[in-house]
Amino acid sequence: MRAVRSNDQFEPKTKDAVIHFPEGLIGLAECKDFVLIEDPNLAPFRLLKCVDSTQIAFLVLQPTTVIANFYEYVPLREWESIGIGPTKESAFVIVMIGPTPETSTGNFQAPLLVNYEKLIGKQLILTDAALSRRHPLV
Amino acid sequence: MLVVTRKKDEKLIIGNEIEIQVLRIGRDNVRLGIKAPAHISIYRYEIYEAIKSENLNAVASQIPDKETLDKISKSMKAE
Repeated sequence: MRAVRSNDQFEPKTKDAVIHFPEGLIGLAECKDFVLIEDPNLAPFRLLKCVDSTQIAFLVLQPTTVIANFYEYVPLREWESIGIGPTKESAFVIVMIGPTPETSTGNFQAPLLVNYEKLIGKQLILTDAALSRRHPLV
Repeated sequence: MLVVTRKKDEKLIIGNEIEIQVLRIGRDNVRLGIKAPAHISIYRYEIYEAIKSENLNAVASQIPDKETLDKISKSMKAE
């Protein structure tokens, strides 16, 4: 059994800006405001933490670390819907860490897009691209 | 649940901006056209449910230790 850490130990520093997801995440509409926590102990992953509930947090990863041209799979209208153009740094996927690297996956079918300037984000579903909800990370 | 009967080519409007039109009626299915503002997401219900359940599964109350994350990170290679 591998050691685990509580997500409580990763608290947002005051400078971490709150990113507003107007529609929440899919199936979690009650949680609309998140901080994206960067920490050397998590890198290259980050923790997307709901500010309204200490219970809700997700490990996320920039999808381009796994699929280099990932942002090309996201239709232009989706980028435009949050007021940005296609950028690597603005896309994230939610990951699930398995017992081994080989069993760790990311939800590449439902990425998150973030506009850092306006501090808004959204989760979308890519219905045209053949991307898996459980795409292996390695 | 509101239930309405519509014929082919007839429409519904939801709020001021969302229009749904019956485009074709087949034996086992209907084809609908939906007009909505760009910020409204429209998905087939099954796919929405699948992503919802994936999101709920991925809620990370426990974060793997640094070694576990490092091991994954080292094996990750952009295709």
